[in-house]
Amino acid sequence: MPLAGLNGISSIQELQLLKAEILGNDSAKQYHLNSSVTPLIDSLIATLTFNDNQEVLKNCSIILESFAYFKFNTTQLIKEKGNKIVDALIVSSLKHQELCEVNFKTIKSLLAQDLPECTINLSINKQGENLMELIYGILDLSNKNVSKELLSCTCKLIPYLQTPSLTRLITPLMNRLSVEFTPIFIFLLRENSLDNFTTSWYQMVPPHFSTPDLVSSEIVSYLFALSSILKHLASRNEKDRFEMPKPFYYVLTSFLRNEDLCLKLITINILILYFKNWPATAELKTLNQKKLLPSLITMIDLFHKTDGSNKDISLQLDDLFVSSNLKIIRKMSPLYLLSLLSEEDDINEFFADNNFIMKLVNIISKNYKPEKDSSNSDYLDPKSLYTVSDCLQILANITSNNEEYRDEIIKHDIVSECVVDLVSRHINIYKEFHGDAAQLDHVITILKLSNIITTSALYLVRSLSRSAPLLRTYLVDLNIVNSLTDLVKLPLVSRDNESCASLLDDEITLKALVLGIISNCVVEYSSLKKNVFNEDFLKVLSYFVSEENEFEFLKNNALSILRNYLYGDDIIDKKLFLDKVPLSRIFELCYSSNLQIQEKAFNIIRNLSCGPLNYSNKIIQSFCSDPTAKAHDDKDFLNFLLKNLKSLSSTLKEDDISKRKESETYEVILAITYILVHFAASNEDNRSMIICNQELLDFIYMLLETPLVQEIEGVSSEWAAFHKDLMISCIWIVTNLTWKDDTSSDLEDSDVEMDMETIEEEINVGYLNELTSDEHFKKMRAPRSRALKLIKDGFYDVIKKLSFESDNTDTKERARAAMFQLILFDKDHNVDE
Amino acid sequence: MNDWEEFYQEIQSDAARFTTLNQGILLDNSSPFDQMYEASCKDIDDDQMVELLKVDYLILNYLIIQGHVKTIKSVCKRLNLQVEDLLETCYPQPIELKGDDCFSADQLIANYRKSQELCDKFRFKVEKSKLNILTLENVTKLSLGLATINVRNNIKQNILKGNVDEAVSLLGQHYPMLFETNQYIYFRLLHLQLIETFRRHVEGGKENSSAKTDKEFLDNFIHFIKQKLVTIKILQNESFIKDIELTMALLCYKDQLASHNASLPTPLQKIYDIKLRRQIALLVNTSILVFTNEGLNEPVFVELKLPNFIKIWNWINGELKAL
Repeated sequence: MPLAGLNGISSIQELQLLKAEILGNDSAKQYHLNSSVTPLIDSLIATLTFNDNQEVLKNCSIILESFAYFKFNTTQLIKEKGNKIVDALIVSSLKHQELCEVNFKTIKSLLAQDLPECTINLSINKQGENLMELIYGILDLSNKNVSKELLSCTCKLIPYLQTPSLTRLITPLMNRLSVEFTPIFIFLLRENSLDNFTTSWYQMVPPHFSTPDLVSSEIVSYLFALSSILKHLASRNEKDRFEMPKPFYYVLTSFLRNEDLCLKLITINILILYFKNWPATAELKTLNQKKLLPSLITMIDLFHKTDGSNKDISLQLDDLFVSSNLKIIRKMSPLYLLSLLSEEDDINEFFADNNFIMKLVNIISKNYKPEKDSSNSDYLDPKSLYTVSDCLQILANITSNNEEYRDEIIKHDIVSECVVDLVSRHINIYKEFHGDAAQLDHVITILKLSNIITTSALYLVRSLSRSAPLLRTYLVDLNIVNSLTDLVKLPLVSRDNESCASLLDDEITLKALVLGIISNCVVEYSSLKKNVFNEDFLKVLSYFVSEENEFEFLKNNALSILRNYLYGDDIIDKKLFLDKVPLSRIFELCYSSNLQIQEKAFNIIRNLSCGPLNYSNKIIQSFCSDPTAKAHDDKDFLNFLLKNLKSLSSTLKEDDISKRKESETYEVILAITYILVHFAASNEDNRSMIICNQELLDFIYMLLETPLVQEIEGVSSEWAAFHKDLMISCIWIVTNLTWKDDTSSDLEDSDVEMDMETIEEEINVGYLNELTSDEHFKKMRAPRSRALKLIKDGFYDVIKKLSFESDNTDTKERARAAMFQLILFDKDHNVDE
Repeated sequence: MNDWEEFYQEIQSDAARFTTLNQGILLDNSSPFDQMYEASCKDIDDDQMVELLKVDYLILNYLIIQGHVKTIKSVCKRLNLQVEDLLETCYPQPIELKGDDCFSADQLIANYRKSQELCDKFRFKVEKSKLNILTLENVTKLSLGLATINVRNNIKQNILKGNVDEAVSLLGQHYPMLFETNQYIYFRLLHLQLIETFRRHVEGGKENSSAKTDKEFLDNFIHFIKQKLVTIKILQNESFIKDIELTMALLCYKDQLASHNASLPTPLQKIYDIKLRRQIALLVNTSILVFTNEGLNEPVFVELKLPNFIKIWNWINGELKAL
């Protein structure tokens, strides 16, 4: 059929013939899309833009909508012309509001066909705000001229819109819902009891509901829109704009018993969103999450059922939604919702029953059937890919802290095969991405999908890598470490290339995750440590911790690997490390504003200063001449540590308990105190240097005096654990300071040797204060001098008090050891005391 | 006592009003069943009345689903019910609301009273009976399919008369995306269109027997198949391809069919049988209901409840004969 060119098609008859030709006929669509003489889509866009005849515009919209169902080319069509089509349809809807219904349907259909779904950013669309105004008017309950079809189309469009003003729609939408919910609410009140309603927040069982006739089709559309607006509110931190009314909650939970799976799924989605993002007590959150689990599991069973021969006999999610003309959006699928729920530790035990892990493994084996002969790019369809990805994510969540589940999962070969295969495929796709420029768009699409599933697989590996036994057995057999290091070595995509920029965030998450796994793999007791480290890998890590790397997330995880790698006494590892990463860079990172990075940097220094052969002297010397230290006016390493301790511990004295609980601060404080522990253990010079730093001693004393404040309500177990570790580290400093080396006798007997009674006297009369710092330093090389000074400064008493007051055996034992060493040199104290 | 408690007591105190809320009854003392019972079983109790009146409801529901416009009108008249009243429930009048506080007790109670007013419109009193409330859910259920009934009926009539082109055109006009979401219907209807084209040519008899018209027909026939029935999705379905092949095979029997002495092989008989029109008409009707979300459960309703209805009907007849 000849078309009217780029000025559009003005004849209604011509359009109707075209419509009759195209509707339901994919061959005709393909013919028109391939026809380069008169591109149909361009003609239709031109018609929508320039024509003003409603019938013409309506037919154009319908023809465009039919292309949304042309599965073979929709993605490409949307990518190339989607914006133009949507703009033209919005303009047409604003001009002729009678066309809203058909145009909204077309926009929704075009955007919904891809997986994951596309969205329109109305903030950058010229007519965006006008469209939002129009939608608000349609939803407004006082507008009495709105048909239910238009309401339904409008609600179905909302999940595909992106604009800050989406939040405005919450009021009219809730008004509409209140009308629909009223008869159901009345029915529920009558069927159940007033008490059942008033206590509904805390009822584990949803209210009895047996009249599906009361649930109108509009309710599903309204809730569909509401769920996306709630997601929007949560992401923009505007949660105060919605508070779930009790009657609303009551009716909503009754839908958990409804036979309509579509309604049930949207209900679960709303409730999960609400209890994950809105403030509620832990008890209420857990109870509601448990309330949702049975429905969700039943639904997963229905959608992923197989018969005895593993043949798929499950319901199809898309089929379920055909009747309501809804296209289920990706983030509403039952498996995805369960992956959100499984993040909560409180419901973790639920998965022990119901043979749930087996179910997930079956779903993976049913869906993970990559075509081995195909190129890497097309090995899995998006639907299966999301299904497997969600299953892996659930497995990762439930195994993150549960050894039993880990043991259960590793029994299934399919999980191991799937994970290893995914990682190696991802590397290959990445190589394809760098190699073949002609297919760039296609590879980017595949890479995005691969990122999603590989990330889930890696989350699972990370959870498994938290297990000490698995680091010595399963993960060694899995032989995945080399692939992981290869993944880390892959270059990051460039931000300059616009089409690739969207990949960057995903790539960073993926790399950070891999670094996290490797960090677990290189802990002291792991058998994988030797497999990971070589010069090449250290070079990659040195890049991540360098200034060149702008991504803090990656820097932090790379530092975490180095921290774990340097743990222990192996001086060769430390030397290898310092060959690649200069100390000056670590000092620089100690000044980072990011507490997590600070913690890692201080812990690296801690590990470098540990062991019989260590770098403590080098650290002290290097710091004195370090340019970053100079820039911050720091000249002495111990004073630098003290300065950090003071500023960090000021948060511990905060009245506001919530500020005290910052775990990052705890970690940095502990890292610094352990540096002091190791410095105090390193040599007599360093011990003497610490003891000569009165301010530092006073501060350690003050830390030892910090009460546990158990009686204060809200003191977390985190604070208690930190307090215990802090006390132990401070006691350890004291123990190490009074330690008598095999070599220390030489020092005592030489020029510093003096009558012990004279020293005591000198200390007591304050003679030492009058000594020059050099003399003082020399005197403090003697263990006895240090012990007496510490006793005089009150360390003995404070540690003694701690040993009485502490409930912790470890603290008590260490305190006793410290006291024993202190009084070993003091005649006034009895050793048996 | 707060708003909720007061309201709760109010609805509880009127317990009788709610006893029939979920019974699905259309009560009408002008129903033929009532008249028959009035004449023959005056001492019928409320429970039996309920059962019998369910039949009225079921008949009306069935007729709406099947799109029998004329019969519905006559049944509604007999039931003292206006079709327009039922349609109105599809578009309930909105209630003025107080902004953000739409789920407040006051507001919900106001909504409730408004919905009760809506029900009052369909309240049909039965003498001696306190079962006099038609609930909102029953009215809503009764109105399912009513909004599309005229178009459905029009499409169905056209298919039954063999005017498939017109039916396709009507579908494109009213439900353009039906073919996109339901390729089965697309194929079945267009396949019927092809058969009807063939039937018309055959039934044209001698007028269409010249070599020229034969060639023209054959060209159009092949063109139609190529244009409409050889789509990517259809070619992926073996059953569709087989049906197209059988339809092509019909061409071999054109002359015999024209002379009315053809004995078609059984597979060809099936596709040439006039009953196919009815099958397709029912399929299209059901698919529209599903597509418009009006018949989400109605196909099931038709399949499962109608046999029950017939059983009840037979039972009533049996009972009446026994009297």
